[in-house]
Amino acid sequence: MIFDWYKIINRAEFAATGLVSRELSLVLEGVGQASILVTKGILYSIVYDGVMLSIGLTDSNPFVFEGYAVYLDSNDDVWLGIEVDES
Amino acid sequence: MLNGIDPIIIFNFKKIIPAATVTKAETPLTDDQPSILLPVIPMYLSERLTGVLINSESKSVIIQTDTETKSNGTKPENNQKGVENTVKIEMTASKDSIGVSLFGAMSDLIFEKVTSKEYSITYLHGAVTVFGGLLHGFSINQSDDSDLYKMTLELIKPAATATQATGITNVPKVTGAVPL
Repeated sequence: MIFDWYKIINRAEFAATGLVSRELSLVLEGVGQASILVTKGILYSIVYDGVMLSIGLTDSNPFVFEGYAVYLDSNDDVWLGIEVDES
Repeated sequence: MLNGIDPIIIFNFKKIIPAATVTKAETPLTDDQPSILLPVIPMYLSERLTGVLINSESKSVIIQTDTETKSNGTKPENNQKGVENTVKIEMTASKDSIGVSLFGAMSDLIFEKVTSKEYSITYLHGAVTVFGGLLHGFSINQSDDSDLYKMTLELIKPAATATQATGITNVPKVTGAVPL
């Protein structure tokens, strides 16, 4: 599966704020202005377009669900993936 | 007239020239598209000139405050967001006044342009001014016990930029199975 990936936030920097959630307003290339909720529970998650994507859920990286994905890279950056139609 | 001064309201219109490179998938990010300015339409809110009497005028600023407590027990963080900054004008006019006809026509014209943002409204009355404002609401009411129209106009002060607020980050995309 191919995705358009967007860097959302750095997990370590978010953890340092001590917040349990933060809503980000970002302009995603090719999509437009989007509101993304970053939350901290047992796992760190992002919520985009009503879909909750938890980092490392089912030990998957990227974690893919309903056409969206979340990926944690080696720099601790959290990426949102939007599936691209490969046809 | 209100308190001895005739307010003036100015309707500004423009026509945006669409760019050939904008695709359906892209949302216009700024108001900086080329456009043609159309002649302005000023209107004095005066009983003598346009037959409109101002009953009252009010200004309201509403701010939303979200308090976020922290998991480490330190001082909570307050995040504020402006909800609205509006001016509300209540007016009375006779049914044959030019003001009623003009407001009715302008509101219909503006309704078509609210999404394209090809309009703005300037309201000047002493200390209460709105430059380049947007229409927040408009109504005309008439009851059977009077031949006067009661009109309510609400204007909202615009954000600093049309569609993109300051502090919002542009995020480029990277395509692939994983971001490299």
